[in-house]
Amino acid sequence: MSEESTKKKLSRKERQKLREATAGPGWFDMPKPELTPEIKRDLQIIKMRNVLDPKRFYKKDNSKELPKYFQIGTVIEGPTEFYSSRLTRKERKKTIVDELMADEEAKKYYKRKFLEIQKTKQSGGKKHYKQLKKKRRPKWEKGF
Amino acid sequence: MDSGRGFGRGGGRGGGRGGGDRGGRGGGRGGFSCIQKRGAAAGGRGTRGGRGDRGRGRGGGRGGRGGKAGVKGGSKVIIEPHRHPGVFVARGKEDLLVTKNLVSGESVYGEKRISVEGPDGTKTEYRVWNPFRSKLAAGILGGVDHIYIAPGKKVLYLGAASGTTVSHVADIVGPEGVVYAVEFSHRSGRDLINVAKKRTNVIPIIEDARHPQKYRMLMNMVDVIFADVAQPDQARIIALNAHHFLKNNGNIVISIKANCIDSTVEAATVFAREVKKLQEERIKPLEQLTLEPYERDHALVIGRYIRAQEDK
Repeated sequence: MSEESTKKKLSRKERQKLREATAGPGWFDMPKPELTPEIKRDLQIIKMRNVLDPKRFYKKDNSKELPKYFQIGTVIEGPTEFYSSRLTRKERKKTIVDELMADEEAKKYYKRKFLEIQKTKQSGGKKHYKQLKKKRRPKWEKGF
Repeated sequence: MDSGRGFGRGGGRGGGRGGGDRGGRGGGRGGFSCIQKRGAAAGGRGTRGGRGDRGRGRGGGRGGRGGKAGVKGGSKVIIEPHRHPGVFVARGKEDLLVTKNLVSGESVYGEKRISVEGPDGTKTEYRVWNPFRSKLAAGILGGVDHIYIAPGKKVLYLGAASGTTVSHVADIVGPEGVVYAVEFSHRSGRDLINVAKKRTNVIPIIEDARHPQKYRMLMNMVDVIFADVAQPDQARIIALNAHHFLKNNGNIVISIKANCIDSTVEAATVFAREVKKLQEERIKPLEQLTLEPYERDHALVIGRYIRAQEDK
């Protein structure tokens, strides 16, 4: 009885808040976790994963916002995949970002790509233009 | 049995996308048999399918290492709800379809699992659902509009085989739903019973789906019928079961393998004929979808069973 009366007291906003706390019965009440900076970074990486590997292609993802309801899980390999598809204890990391940064080869690629983009983005700026002009100056002028 | 194509390593590795993964479907490719799934189970080859897990989107292997890539055990993924209720997507280096595991800590046919630790130490688990082994999963990834199988629903599953897809359907309907899994073959029925031992919401029925009166005392009315029987008279089988057990305005999800119905005409004609037959049995077709990258000449047809017209 008392439970019923408290239920009635909930305002529309409170009920909505309660409802939005989980993904609902359709998805077995998947919780809405707190966004720590690490988790946020992981979600952003997943959003932008199409730049991580030039040989891998993904469906496009047009939504800007991060998912509301999600969980972070660890893959457990099947019983036959001990050697073929498993990370050793040393290779395991806490977050997706850490996993990506553990790969030296990939890290080189990210760095190279970053510098390439930086170069094109910076071209046309004041500094860039000054240097260009310096280069264009005739040789005899450079002596002064 | 091994004479089939793409069974060994070579096949599993050859094509870049998808095509090569067909090896993962397991045995039974060899002959011209329609009941390929049973062959797979009988040979004890179920686990072979693990090879098929290598997932989509992995182009030609980088660095020449051929091994199966995809998500390795121990890596982190993010699980999000899918558009369909009861289904989830695990996102990492690639996307995986997953369902919430009813029996934590156990994989049914050697599939990968994903464990999640909650903030208060509770553990939830998800199981990876391979579209190359399950036509329903292939349909979902193909973009079917509505699967009608959702948490709390009662499902009649015809052609359950060894229960790989059944286990995922049981995951989707959850503890409040029920799956009646009908399978004729005793051999794969044995595996099905093992699945049902662990999952209380699965009721295995080892009986011919052509004779629904034989198992009518085990059944209740159901919301959805999923049929993967691959028989020439499958439309009749499905209609018979619908007349017996399906609620008015209940839904039907059927996978049709063109070769099994009539291998002399084109697949599209076979599908059209089957849909026609269903229409005559008061099943209104709602949607048809090819399972193309995952299965050849297969279609998923979704319909609504209209038992009685409402009086106006």
